[in-house]
Amino acid sequence: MDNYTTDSDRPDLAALEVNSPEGFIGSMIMPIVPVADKSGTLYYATITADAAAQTSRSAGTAPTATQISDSSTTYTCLERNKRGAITPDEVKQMGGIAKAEVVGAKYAKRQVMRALETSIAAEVLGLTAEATFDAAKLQEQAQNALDDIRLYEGATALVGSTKVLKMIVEDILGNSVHGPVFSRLITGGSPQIAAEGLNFNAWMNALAMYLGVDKVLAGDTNIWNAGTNAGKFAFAKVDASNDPLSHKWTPVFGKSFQFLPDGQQPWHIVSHADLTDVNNYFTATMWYDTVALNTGAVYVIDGVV
Amino acid sequence: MKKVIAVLGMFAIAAGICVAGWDDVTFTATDLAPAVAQTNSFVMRGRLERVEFTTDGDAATVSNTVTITSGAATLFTRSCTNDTTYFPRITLHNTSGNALQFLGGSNADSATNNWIDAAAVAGTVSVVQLASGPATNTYTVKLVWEK
Repeated sequence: MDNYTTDSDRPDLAALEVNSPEGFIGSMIMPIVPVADKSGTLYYATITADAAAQTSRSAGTAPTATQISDSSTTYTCLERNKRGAITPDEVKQMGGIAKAEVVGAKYAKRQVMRALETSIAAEVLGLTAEATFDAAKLQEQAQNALDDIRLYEGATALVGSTKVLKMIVEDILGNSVHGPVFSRLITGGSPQIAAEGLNFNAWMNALAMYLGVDKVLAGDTNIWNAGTNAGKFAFAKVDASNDPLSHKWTPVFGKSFQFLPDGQQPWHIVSHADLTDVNNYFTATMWYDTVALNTGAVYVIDGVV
Repeated sequence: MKKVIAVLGMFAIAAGICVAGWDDVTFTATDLAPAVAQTNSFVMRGRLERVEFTTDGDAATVSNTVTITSGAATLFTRSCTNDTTYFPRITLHNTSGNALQFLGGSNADSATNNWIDAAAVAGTVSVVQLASGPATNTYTVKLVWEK
């Protein structure tokens, strides 16, 4: 049966590289932490408030101590799955079962990845907005935000959907005071540079330079501007350590906990053929939980119209 | 010299383009349940010139209320049933802070005078869309302002 898949676990398909859909920025904000248990308790660092340094001390007396400790919370990785189905005649169209398996598995994986991205977007932009976007005072708003998140560790990032970021650019350019300055940042000083300045990366770099952040993360508009996320963006401190356990000693925004069923990788993909329904099924499953640990590391602004 | 003048002229034109302009925003309330309000806020800098109300053409569309406020002041409030465009104007005040009277003495439809103007706004504007009828409604409100 050339046009039917095999009935089995498919670690080969699970290991398939699925090109991260453009604008999937979630794992840069809430990095992945692989866990061996579906649920558990985690300890994480928080901000210990600044306190005045002691200015005098009597000989023989101990300096005043401020106690520093971790907080704890729990995580529960829930199952998310998606099944792709490809009929045998479509398998023929796709050039055989080997290629159809890749198509089916990639589709299923992508949908689960979208679910994870949606969850992270909700954790970030779902926070209460602390200001309403004002193009005429964006510099001031940006600095308020950066001051607000200053104690958290990592790189500073401007986070929003591609559409909202472009709307911000549009509003800045339309401002009579800041427009000419921003325009200069994008286009540079010569027609040649101006042409290069038209690409989206140049616009993002200009935003980063203009607002004084380390990077700009442009998310998928269909997720980062959907529903209650619409018109919102955020200044955030994103973990730049690449250490899955960094939350234990550095106050970071949050982490995505992924359960590794086989101890190797988080994806579980099963393929099976159904001769009754005349179909091939590819089911991708992942268990995860997104946990915001220090919500103060994100400053949300709404009202971009 | 001509080149210098031309360049200066272009700067003048560019400055003019930057200063004057119009902007608009549209808010859509989708399947708004009765007595449920949808609120959107944004910063407006300019004069609110026009409010366009558009229903989805549904026969069940009933009276929906649109309220636009800036700070404590109400710029516009109206129950709308049909596609309609409004040009809201506000009452001005004298140097003592007293509201200048409309000719005819009231905020009447027939009143005509010079003591009204498009509302100058430089701050957060709140647009509340309320469905007041028995059915769910979809309708949009478009604000147009001069920058």
